[in-house]
Amino acid sequence: MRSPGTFLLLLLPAVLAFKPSDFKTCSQSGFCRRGRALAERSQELSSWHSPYSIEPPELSPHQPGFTTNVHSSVYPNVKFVLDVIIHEEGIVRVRMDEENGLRKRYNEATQWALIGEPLLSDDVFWTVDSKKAKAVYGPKKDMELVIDFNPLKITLFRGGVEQVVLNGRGLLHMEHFRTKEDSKLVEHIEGEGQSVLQVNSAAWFEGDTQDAFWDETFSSWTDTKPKGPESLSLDITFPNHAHVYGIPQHATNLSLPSTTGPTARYTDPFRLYNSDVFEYLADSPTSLYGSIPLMHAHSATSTVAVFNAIASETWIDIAHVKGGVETHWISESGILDVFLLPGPTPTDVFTQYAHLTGTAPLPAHWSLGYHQCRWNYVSSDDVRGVQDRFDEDDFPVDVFWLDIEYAEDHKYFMWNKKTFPDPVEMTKDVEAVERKMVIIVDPHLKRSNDYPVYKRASELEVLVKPKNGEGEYEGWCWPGSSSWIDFFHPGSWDFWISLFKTDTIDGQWSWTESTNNVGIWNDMNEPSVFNGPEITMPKDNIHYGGWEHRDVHNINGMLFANLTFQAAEARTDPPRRPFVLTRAFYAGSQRFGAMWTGDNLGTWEHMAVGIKMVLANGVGGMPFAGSDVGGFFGNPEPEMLVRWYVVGAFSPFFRAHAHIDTKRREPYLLEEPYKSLVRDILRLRYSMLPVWYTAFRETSENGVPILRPQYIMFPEDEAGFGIDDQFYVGSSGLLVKPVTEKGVKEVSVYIAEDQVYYDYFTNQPHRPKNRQITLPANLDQIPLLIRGGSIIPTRERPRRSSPLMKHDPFTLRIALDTSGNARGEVYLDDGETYGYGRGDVVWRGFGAESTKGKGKGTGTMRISSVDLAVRTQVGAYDPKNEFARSVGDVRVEKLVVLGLGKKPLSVILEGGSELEWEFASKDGAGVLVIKDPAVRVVDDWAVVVKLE
Amino acid sequence: MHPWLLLALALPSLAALDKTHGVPPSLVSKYVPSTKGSRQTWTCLDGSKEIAWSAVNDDYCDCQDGSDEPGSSACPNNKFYCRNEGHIGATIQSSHVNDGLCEQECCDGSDELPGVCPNTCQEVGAEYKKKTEAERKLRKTGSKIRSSYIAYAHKEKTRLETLIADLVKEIETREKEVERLRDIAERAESLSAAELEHKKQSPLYQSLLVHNTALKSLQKEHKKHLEREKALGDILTSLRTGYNPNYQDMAVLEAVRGWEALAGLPHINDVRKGDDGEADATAEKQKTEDDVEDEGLWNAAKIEKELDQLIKTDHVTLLLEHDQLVGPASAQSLLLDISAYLPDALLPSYYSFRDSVLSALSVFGIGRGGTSDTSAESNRARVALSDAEHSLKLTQDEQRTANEDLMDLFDPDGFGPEGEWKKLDGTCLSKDTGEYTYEVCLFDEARQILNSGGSGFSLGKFSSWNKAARPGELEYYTRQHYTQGAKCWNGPHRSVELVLTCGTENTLLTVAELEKCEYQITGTSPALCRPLEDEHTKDEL
Repeated sequence: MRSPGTFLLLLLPAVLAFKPSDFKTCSQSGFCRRGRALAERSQELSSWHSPYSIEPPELSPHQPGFTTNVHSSVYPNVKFVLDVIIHEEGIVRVRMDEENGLRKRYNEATQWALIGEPLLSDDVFWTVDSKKAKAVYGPKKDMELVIDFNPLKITLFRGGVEQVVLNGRGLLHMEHFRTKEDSKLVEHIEGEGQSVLQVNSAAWFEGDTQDAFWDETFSSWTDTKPKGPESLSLDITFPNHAHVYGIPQHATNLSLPSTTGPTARYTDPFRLYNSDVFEYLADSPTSLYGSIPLMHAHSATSTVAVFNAIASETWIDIAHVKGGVETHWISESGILDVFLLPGPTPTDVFTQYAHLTGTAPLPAHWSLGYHQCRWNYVSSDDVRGVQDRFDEDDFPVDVFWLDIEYAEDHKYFMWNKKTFPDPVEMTKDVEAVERKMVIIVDPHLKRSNDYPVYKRASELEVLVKPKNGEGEYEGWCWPGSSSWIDFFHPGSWDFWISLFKTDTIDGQWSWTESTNNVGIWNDMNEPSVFNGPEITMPKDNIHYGGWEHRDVHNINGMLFANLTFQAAEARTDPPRRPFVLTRAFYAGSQRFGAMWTGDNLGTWEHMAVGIKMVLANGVGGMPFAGSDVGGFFGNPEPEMLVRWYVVGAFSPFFRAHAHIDTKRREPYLLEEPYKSLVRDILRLRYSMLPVWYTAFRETSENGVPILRPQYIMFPEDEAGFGIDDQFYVGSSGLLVKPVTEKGVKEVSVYIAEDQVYYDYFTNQPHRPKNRQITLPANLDQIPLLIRGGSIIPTRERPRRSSPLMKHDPFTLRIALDTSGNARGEVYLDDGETYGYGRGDVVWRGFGAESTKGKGKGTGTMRISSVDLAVRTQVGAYDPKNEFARSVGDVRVEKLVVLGLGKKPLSVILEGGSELEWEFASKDGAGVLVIKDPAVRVVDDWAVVVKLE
Repeated sequence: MHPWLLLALALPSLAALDKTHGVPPSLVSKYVPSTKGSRQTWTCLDGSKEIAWSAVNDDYCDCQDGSDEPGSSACPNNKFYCRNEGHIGATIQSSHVNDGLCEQECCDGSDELPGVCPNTCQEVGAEYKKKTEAERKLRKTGSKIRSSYIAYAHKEKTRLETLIADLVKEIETREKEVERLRDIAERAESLSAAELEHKKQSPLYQSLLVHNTALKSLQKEHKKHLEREKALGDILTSLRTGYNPNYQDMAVLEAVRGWEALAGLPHINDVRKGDDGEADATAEKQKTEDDVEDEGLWNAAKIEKELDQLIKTDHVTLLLEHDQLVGPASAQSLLLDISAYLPDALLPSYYSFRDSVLSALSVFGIGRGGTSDTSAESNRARVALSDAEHSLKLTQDEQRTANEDLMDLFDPDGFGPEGEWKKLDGTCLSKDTGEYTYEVCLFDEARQILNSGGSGFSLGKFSSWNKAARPGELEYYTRQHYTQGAKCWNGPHRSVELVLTCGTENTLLTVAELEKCEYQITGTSPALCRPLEDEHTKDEL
């Protein structure tokens, strides 16, 4: 939501407000220094080879994988174990851990990230010789996994072509646990007993200084590092792939630039370490609020991905080299646990990743509407007043948000009764027009015994502990002195879930002053600690099970959202879909709600990079994402605000938010013409909710992102791989290129195919010239195209909130492709419950098919609606299910056919009578509007257009 | 027979709707069909299109202007009229029609399909009557108080008019007096000017002037520094009370701690914990230490109180008095001795002039009869003149103020067209919100006062009524703006929008800081309760 110290904003140019001194560079992080030094030594030494080798495994040809011992030539007495398994869909999992070490490496990351143990493949054939083991698998038997024994190297081939190589550059290094005395002893003996030339037998590999092994100081903080060095370095190379994507969250291009080598754009590696960064830079590899260690590699012939399931601070160097991309992952702690996702297409990779970490569930339908937020609406009357103003100006909105100031002394859940004397009545006033409230609950608890949440957590001893493992860690956040619930502690779970109950159970305190419809905003869960190192918790803090904070840092925020999601769901029986927004996230967070890109600035640069960040989050499996409309900091000029509303209206999560120091900027405050422009944009979003909801259904099934950049839509079109300022919406065929610069009059949209595209607003058909379509883009124009061959379902009636559209009729825009065909779909359910799992859905497929007439043109065109749910057998689907009956009165009121060559002779409802229609043609581009065919959306029907 | 035909028939059809459903009374006459042969048609109200009469209110938008769908939600941005028989008709946005919610405005339930919303017009009408009755009662009581304010204004008018008349007379008298004294002083001065000039050459006098100039300069600089110190203090106090007590920004914390040490304040977080008793004691101690004086030197209070007086010392008088003290005791007054130089023929008129001057000086108590020398006498005459001029100016100022007050009294831009706000000029209203008390002194200043003690902030001085309305309109007097209050350390100057409604008491109801340092305060005042007759005709509509 925000960071303190905001006064800088007014005094300094925005770019100076980011404080680089608050956050580490690689050179200030001991293990990153060691990792990069290792990579440098490997370049300098021509005889460099990995010191790791494995014992040839004993295995029968059809077992899914094997376990074997690993030796390190530099530490022959330390034991490591390697585990290689091939799972269903050809996903390869490689794990390595130290065996019988002094301590245990953190190995529970996948326990939180995965939805379950992945299934083993039963389709593998192993052969082993003296140098390598080889598995052949896949439906076409074209996949090969080769494990070289000495040095250890793991290579994934498809069709004989190298796809992914682990340890090909020999940078694999798992620092074993040692004692301070041990390492001193080694130095001593080797310093005295050996010849000068052989100072330290590990030095060629590990270096001869014990750089930051035992403690590390950054600014005024010292990390005591009681476990000593335990970092993990791994090189992952993608031969034959020129682009890599993913590893959100960074404010950078979608196609990730190099961080090392001659093509480097940045000097530091990309960093994954969930951080509350004040006024972050719009172009930087620094870590931000969330971390998903998933990377796609892509070429015109192949997509593969690597999911490196590590929870500790991780730095990733990327080098685009001839013939592929080299990456180097340096992590502070944890076992090696890497999944190779074989592709071969982007869609396959998404589905494979979804089978590991799950998909974003179907959200509450209302959460796809417009969210109005501000730090802060200051009182219940203020909230009512804002709602009234929205209604006076007839702006649709679904959600009003409350930031931290609703809470007395920032004790979340506890209303400030001076300003919010009637919270439940206020919430009900908002809910009276089917709107909702979302209220913030942060993870820091004010250390005050008059705060029942803190008091109970303290009694239950479920708070994060300081480095000595005793008592409660105390840090500073909004309420002053605070402590943090340790959500790794199972004892915290039922307690947290009980807090959200709106009725009292067993006399324990719960949030009776809220309603079951309230959504929850989980902010500051990196966690943000104002007086901590890098504005977060000390790494030597202790969590449940004795794990250090360093081991679990990047997962920590996900558990908070996870538990809040469960808590909000458990408020009612049967449960309803909760809405939770989180700022911190990790692989798997998509299962627990939406995220946003944190505290952005009201600048054009931030508007533009926000789109790229949302796209990257989609690649990372977290599609329900958006950035704050208008920018959190600053006062955007009206032109910028209007453009930003377009960006928001085409983001899965659409929220306007503003910092406490900014002027109010609710859309009703704008002057004309801006005010009406924003009203039109909001109404456009609402008219397209069927498209968005249908797209969410698809991603909930297969994990393919909602916003789809070129490389996902056209994986073979190399020229599109770097494009990240335009995108398609789901499978709908809508293509948008939001304007993110001042004073723009027209834009060029890149088109990868020879197909007709239609302007959404003017219906004008465009054929790409040199792969470009140029569109006018004045402030009142949105570059939005419908791809030929698509049918777009919309609901065009303005309403105050999305639930009030439930009975509104549909309009279908039928955009014919060059062959005169089109298809589309719409998915509907009650938007609130889990009834869809029982088949309470309406899921229609729409088609337009042209058949040739006697002449050379089209004879007839048939537009039809068929039941998709019955074909895919959703649950115990019955076409007359409860939900379908509840929307039985919903009509299709209008069909708009784009791209019809000539005026029809007749338009007939199949089995019925002639319909009313109008045909207009300009420059051979015909638009047929069919008035009210009087058909129901839940039914099968067909309309026949006779042309000759 | 295809099954969907049956289903299609089962669709809820709006075609059965009355064609004038949702049409306001003023437009009902336009909703009649034209007949063209066997076809009945209708033309969109903007004339853009002719459509079938059956297409009117058929829940499909045919006309660009939406006029074919007055009774449905098919066209965006339409208005829907509900008749509300038994109550008052109302207009709602078409986006509220057929959305499944029964609109409060449409008590007849006509905004939804038949059977969805009950007709509650009877209850709503009764409730409305009750509410308007209560409002009327409030207005009635309020307007009674208001008429007392108006009466006050009229009394004030009379008072001011009388005052002005009196002042006019007084000014006349004083003007004459000034004339007379000026005459005397001028004559006296012409006699003593030369001598005085000579005396002014005294090094002592010259040095005194330099000292005086230096003192003035010092005072000016001193005041400037005091103001700067106060401004800095305000900024730091605001920082101290307003900063978020997290230690992310150590620079802020150090600034707060530094200021607390310097100003002898307890640490703000300790105060918040409630153990500020000890801290206060420390502050007190600090203060005492500061006040210890070097012997003989002036302390701050004395500088504040007496320096101005010292600087204003009349050095000419001082010079003359000094002369008397150190000069020859027998020195003759030029005025008394001048006869020696005069021709005899002029003596009688001279003596009579001298007597009148001396007697005048005696009258003002400054003459010392025969012991005064000429310079001193002329000086005293000058003092008397300046005193008289000062009194005249005061009286004139008083008259000007009274005139202005009289003008303001019934100025629509000032105290309202009937002077109804005059009574409240300077009336202070306050609202305790727990942490702070907000005080608005009408037409003067708004302030925020920290309840736990410490300095308050000006939230602004009265600057205007509601700029969005015209003077004279009721709306104009529902908002007062107080602007240019103390500057926020990280934002604009504080300001207040005071939103007032008719009420029987002058009181503040709510305070909200909608944006940083911009406050909205609501309240009531009888001054806004115009008599019922005023809008009687409007109510009827």
